[in-house]
Amino acid sequence: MSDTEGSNTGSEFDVSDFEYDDSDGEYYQGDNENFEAIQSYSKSLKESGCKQWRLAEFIQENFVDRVDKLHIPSSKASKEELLILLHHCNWDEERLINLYYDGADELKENAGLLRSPIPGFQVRDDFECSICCNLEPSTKVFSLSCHHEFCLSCYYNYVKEELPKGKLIRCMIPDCNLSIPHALVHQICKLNNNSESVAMDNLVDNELLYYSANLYVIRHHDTFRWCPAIDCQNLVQMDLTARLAELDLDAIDPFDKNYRGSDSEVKIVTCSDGHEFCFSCKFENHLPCSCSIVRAWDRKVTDDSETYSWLEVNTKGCPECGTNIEKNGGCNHMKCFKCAYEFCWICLGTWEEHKGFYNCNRYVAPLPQEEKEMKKKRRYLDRYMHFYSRFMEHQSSMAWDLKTLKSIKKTTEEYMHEKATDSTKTISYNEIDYLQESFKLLVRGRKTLKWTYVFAYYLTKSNFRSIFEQNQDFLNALVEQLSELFEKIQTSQDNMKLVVQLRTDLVNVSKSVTNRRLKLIEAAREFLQRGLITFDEGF
Amino acid sequence: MSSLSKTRLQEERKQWRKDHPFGFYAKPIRDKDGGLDLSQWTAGIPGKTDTIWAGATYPITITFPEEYPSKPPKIKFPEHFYHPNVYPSGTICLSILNEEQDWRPAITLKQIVLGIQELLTNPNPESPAQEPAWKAYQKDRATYIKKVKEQAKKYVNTV
Repeated sequence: MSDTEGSNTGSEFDVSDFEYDDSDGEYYQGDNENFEAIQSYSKSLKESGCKQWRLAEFIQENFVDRVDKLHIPSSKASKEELLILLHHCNWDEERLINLYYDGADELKENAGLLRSPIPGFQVRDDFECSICCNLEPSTKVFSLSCHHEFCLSCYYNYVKEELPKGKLIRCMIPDCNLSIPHALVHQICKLNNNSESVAMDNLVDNELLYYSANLYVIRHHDTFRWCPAIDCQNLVQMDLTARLAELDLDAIDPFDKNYRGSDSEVKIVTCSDGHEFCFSCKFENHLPCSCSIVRAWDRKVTDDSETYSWLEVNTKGCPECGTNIEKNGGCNHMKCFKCAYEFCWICLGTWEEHKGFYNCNRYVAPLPQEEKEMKKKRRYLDRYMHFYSRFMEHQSSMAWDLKTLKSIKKTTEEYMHEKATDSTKTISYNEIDYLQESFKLLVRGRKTLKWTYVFAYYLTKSNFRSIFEQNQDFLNALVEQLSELFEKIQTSQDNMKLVVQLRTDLVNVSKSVTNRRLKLIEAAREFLQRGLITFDEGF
Repeated sequence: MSSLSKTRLQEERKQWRKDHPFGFYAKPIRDKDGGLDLSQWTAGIPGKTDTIWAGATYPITITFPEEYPSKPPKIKFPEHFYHPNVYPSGTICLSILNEEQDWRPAITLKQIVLGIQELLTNPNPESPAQEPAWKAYQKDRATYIKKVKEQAKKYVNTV
């Protein structure tokens, strides 16, 4: 067991496979007609009520642009001040306006709005900073309009600590409530003490606004998600009308006979860079499985219950101390290495009684219940291993596919590079452009295939399970065919030639993979909704 | 310890020796070799006169983290200290000592100990940290006063 389950630290549920998709989503806007099936699929996702944001767009539209739209009559607040006020009110204009009319002065005080000009960055001679207590002949200092001066490096450390909270950052003096303007926070972070460039026009990569966006997403968890892919900073927003009710996923029991799945439960969304994930559980696209089945599977794989089942079937406990012993030789005279108790493997009686004669040869009616129990357990274990090993196979195949692609990518890049100087190389970029997209479809196909094994593991026996398994076979065959084509390119002598030659094949097969994949998911969903299939956790 | 926090702690010590509020004490702990470890201090908070806390000096330990003064020091009373805002471990629940709340790098040791003295007499029922003292404070003031006075005897001023 330890061989197949060696990496069983939950790592099989990472999102590393997201890194496949590095095509910058160009594909969706592109006019590559070969992939219209996927285009319409992705379009349907968009129509299903989710909006894709890049972080910069999000900050621009939700934070910066709101300042421009904000209209408070009789207020002479600058753009900078309005940004602070809005941030203070958690980007809620309505709240801001209400508070403003309730008492403008109080609001300004609470938000730590600045008075008069800000001294900002200065250089002082023989300055002793009261935070770090360092006395230097020349020190770069920073202060707000309160003139509480501290050295820039202390401000830097302070700002770094405060930033992740996502709230306005105040002067370092406890009773001084003044807020540091966003643009100045950025300058402190960059240790840039050039006072002139306090620019309001470049706020999309502002550190404070980034963390504020982070806080905003946490507060609006019902409609917003960060893309879980590694290093991806995109956001997905669920339309308010299509918003998920806060589902208590633990309360949903897929093993209930009346379970019909729920459409809203699995909401696969795609970020601007084409990373797919489940909006509910933030896990990868795990269709056809529902989030609750994924959870059940995760629990099963993560906890050690299956290890215990294996032990029970394949080992016997020492009759004296209970240590699990696996027999690895022919002799039935066992000696426990832990407690040195000697016993007979067959009857588990003490070896003392076996010295003169074997009394365990005599047939004592076996405990039928016990034996049946054992056989049942072994069958369950075999069943689990069947599905688990296939699940893991596809998981690791995904990693191999990625290696293949990387190698092909390298070759094509080299080719394109050499093409500039070598006139015999005539293949144009358009001719190999399809590779990325075909590959993306392969990954998606494999991912779905992987999850079909989890789905099938829990399925109870029925005709519809057979249909599902047939769909699974079709998808499996196509995925392998596609994977093989990629490998063929990688291992051939003249891979560039093959890239062009196999183009039609690759495009067609990847299209078929996708069609199959979507059909399988659709069929599974339909069976479930019509109550034609049920799940059983008891395996 | 980073040099940043070391300079600051030396300065805090200097300032404390020069001037500190009456009845308080605070000093870095001497390690085995007799050297000073500036990151660990012991200090005493006198109860305010004319309150149920009067007549005693309550010991605390102060641990300054590596990131001080960006992060606040951790301050503890002895375990099971009787006060609504002190956890059973002795850790004090006070907003200026919480980096998620009101900690600012400019807060001095003097401000911290005065803040704790204030907290002794004026507990904050909004953030209970232990059940017995908090319950008594809210519902059974007589028991609360009795317990606090009993505790004061334990830490009574020796002078």
